[in-house]
Amino acid sequence: MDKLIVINSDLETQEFILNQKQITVGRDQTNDVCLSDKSVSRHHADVVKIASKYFLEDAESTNGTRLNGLEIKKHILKDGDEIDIGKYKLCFQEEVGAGEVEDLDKTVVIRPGDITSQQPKPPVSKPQRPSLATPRKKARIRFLAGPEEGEIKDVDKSFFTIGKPGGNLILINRRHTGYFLLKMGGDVPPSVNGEAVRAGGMELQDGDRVKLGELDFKFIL
Amino acid sequence: MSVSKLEVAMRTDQGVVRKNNEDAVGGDLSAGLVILADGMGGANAGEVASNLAMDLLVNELVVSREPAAKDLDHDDLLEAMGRVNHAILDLAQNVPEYHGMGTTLIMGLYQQDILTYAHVGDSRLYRFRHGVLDALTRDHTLIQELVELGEFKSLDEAMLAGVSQNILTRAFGSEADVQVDIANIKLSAGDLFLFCSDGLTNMVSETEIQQILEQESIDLMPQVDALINKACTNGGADNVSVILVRFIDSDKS
Repeated sequence: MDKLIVINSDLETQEFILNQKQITVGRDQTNDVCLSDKSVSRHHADVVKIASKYFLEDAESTNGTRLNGLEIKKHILKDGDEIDIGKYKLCFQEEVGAGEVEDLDKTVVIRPGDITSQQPKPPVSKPQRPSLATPRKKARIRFLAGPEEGEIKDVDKSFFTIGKPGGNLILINRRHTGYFLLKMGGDVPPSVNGEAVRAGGMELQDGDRVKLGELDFKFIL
Repeated sequence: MSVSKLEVAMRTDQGVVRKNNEDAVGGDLSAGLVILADGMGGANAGEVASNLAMDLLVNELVVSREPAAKDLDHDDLLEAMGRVNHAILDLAQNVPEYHGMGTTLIMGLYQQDILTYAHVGDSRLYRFRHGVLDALTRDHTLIQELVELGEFKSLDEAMLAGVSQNILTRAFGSEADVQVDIANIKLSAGDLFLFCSDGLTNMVSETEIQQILEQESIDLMPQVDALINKACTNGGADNVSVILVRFIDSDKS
């Protein structure tokens, strides 16, 4: 739960859960967060949620709003931020999901659902054509070398991987038109019957022999 | 399928800071298709996502299609891209090492005198025509969306308010239905198109890009190199990828 914690000059704290789009802060009783001291303007500041992020906005207050010591008009909030309003200190706490830790170099994706001014548009992906349905014949692979030599595996998923993530890795994509081989990892392209697989992969035929590094198997349809 | 007559040059570079390259450039020139993707995710998941997206799209649009089929339309491209998203999500769920991987993607398909382009994320397409550089795509980033909502007057103002540029609102691998922006543009002989990752646009201003594109050269590769070198000398904080495509004519022979 995201919250605003108000600390007064007697170090008493009060928590406000941020569960609406806008939280008003000020001296008047009508504010969501009421700070009844003369150092606070009647309507002093707002905490607004826009596109899943919280922003602190000064409402043209007499004494100004400071964020981590700097006077601001409008600024994004992050977990642990300290806000000064009059004689009060407010602390912003945001629930941060696993792996969501702020890293300025790292690109992250947020759910766009919160961007409210946009009308929901129909999703792009059309109802799937039967293209992901299972082809009639079941495919298998038989390992010709390595620790699994002689073993047979069913190609039982639409996206079937063979090999090690981070090392040599092959993907067999099952579609209604057939089975397609693509490279997912490794420094060189895989080969099928001795020929290197080009970008975009290739369709597999019964009896094809696939090699990539230590991987060596036969495709059986 | 009638392919336009094109000159193409492309390169991806690790940049000077990153230890790996999560970008991918490619396509199928005989089909008039170019693709650029910028992956994300721990370990090498980012480069798996970007390369897989590119490979699968080439597979969908070129390798597994009947030769001499009709021109590809928006529905064909959107369906193919929907399946690319599905593939990345599926693998991210089933292979622990790839959990959380995703990628941006910008693709261009040149058919006769029409360019169809589609994208998700912050990889961009520009057109350089008669000395004017125009951005044809709009980034799917939080900062861009906030400016469009009117919350800030400009990207600079949003940046001053602490909004970072690296928060995407759309990417393949992020959710089951990803909305792809798609559009057509009519081509005119001599048009030059720049497809690039944010490693270029965060490092090189549009003015600097324009200055490099103005230095008309016979070959496009030196211009690709000049753009990437500029990004690296300006800091090279991210992987940099550039595809340049010059439209010659619509080869109606």
